[in-house]
Amino acid sequence: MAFGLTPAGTITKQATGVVSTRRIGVNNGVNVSKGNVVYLQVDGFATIASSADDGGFAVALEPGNNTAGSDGDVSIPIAVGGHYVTVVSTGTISPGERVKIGATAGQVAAATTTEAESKIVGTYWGKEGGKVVKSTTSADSYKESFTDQADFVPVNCGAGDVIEVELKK
Amino acid sequence: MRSKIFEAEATPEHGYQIWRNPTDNILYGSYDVPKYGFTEAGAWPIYDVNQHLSNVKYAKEGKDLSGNAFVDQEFKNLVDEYRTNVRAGGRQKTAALRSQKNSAVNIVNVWTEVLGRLDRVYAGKNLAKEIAVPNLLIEIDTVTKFTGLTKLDEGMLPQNKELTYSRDSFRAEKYGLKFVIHEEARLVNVHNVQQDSIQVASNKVDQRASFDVISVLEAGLTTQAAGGLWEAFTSSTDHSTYSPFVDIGIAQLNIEGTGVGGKLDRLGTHQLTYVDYLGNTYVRGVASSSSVEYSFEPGTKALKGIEGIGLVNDNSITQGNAIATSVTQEPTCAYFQGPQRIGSAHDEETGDDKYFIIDYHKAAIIQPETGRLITGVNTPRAW
Repeated sequence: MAFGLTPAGTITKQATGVVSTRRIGVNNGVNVSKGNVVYLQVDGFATIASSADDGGFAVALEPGNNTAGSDGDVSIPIAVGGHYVTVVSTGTISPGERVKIGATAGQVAAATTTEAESKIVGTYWGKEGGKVVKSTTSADSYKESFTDQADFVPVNCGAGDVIEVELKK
Repeated sequence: MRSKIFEAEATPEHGYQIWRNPTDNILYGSYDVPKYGFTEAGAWPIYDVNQHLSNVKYAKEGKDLSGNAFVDQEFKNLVDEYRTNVRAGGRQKTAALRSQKNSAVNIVNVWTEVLGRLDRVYAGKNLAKEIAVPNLLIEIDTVTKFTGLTKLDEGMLPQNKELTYSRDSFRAEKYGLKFVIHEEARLVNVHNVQQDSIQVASNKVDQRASFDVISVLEAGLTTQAAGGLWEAFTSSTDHSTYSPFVDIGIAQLNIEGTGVGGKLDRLGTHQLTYVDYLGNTYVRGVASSSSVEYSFEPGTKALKGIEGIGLVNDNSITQGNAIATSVTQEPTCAYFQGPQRIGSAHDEETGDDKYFIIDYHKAAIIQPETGRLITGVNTPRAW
C-alpha cells in the first residue's frame, strides 16, 4: 500500500474540552456520506446541505444511510462550529477564504466577500501536506515528488480536493 | 499450558467428582463423597500425581518419561480433546471453552502480520554529509585560497597574500508529525494500532530527509549538460553512441579540478537512469556474453565501472539527472540534523492517545563548487 490521504470528515485539529462532537438523527430519505456538510432542518434532523440552505452547518464524521427509514432512524456523529474538519471542495479556494456550499450538495466552494453570513460554512485554511506523488507525464520526467503544503505555507485547493475547514461558530 | 489438578469437584456435566487419595497420591473419580474410603465410594483411579511429578522431573532432565500419569483412558481422551481445542483456537477458544455464558464464541482468524506498514528505502540522504547540530544554528566557514608561488629575484621580497574567510549561517527548520489513536481503536482493534502507527511514522523522518536533500541538490547545483544520451545506440551497430564516463569525468574534473579540493565520491541517479548507464556499451563492453547484474532496490552501493564512487539510487531523483557530489572531502551538501523529540499526550477524558515526532533539520548546499548536476543523461520512462 502506498500513502493515503486523510479522508473527508476527519477532525484535523482536536479541540476537546472546548468544543465537542455531537450525534444527530438523519432525515428520512437521506444518505449522508462521511465528510458531507449537513445542516439541521427545523424539525432537528440532519440533511445534506445544498447552496439554497442556510446554516448552521456541521460536518458528518461517519456515513448514515436513512433512505429507507423514518426521521432519526439513523444517526450520525457530527463536527459542529469551531471544529477544524476535512470536507471536499468543488473548486479553487485560497487559504483564509470563506467557504459556502458549492454546486455539489455537501461540498464547499469559495464564497464572495458579499456572501450572506447565513451561507458561510467556515474558512479554508489548507490541505493535507507531506504528500508523495508520482507524476504520470513525461514533462515531469515521471518524477516522484514530495510536497509540504499544509500549514507552511498553505496553497490554493482545487476541485475534488479534501480540504481543512474551520467551521463557523 | 501448565496445570495442576489436586482436588476439584467435577462439573455437573461430567457427573462425577475428582478426589485425591493422600495415601497413594492418585486422583480418583467418584459419584459419592469418599467419607470412609475410596473403595466404599466406588471410586476409580484416573490420574497418578506421583507419575506426573516424576514425568515432570524426567522432562526437565531431558530423559525419557517413565510412564503415563493418566490411569483412566476416558479422562485422558477428555484432556487430549481440551488440549487440541486450546492449541487450535488459542486464547479466544480457551475463553469460549471456559465461558459460563457464551461457549459459542465466533473465532475469527486474522493473520497477525499487518500488510502495508513497510516503506521503501529513502537513500537520497546519502548524497549529503550529515552534520549533527546540537541546537538550531550552525555556521559554516569557507576559506578562499590565495594564489601560488611567484618567482623572485635576488633580494626581492614576495608580495603578501592572505586567506579570506567567509561565513554562512544555517538554521535547522522544524518539522512535525502527529497521529492520534482513539481509545476505541485501541480497544476494538485486533492489531496494535500504536505499534503500527509508530512503525509507519518511523520512516517519515528519513523520507523527508531524502526528499529534502535531493530537492536542494537538483535546485541548487551547477548544471552540466550531458554530452549525449547514455541509452542511445549508434544506428545499425552494436555500440552506444556516447560514453557516460565522459560526463562523469567532466563532473569529476570540475569537482576536483582547478582550485577545488573536493572528491567526486557519490553519484545519485534514478534506478531507471542507472539501467541506461549499465546498458551502455562503454560500461558493459560490446561483446559481453552475459547481462550485467542489477538491482532496482533504492539504496547505496558501488558505482560499476568507476572505483571509489558510491552510487545512490532513489526513486525521487529526476530521471535524466545524475547528481555528482562530494561527501567525504569538502562536502557539497550538508544535512544538518538538529534535535529530535518524540512524545505522547493522553487525553483523560476521551481516552485518546496522541503521539508526535518533532524533528529539526535542514538540507543545504554548503560547497557548491564540489557538486554538479549532470542533466539530460537519459530519456525519462514511465514507471
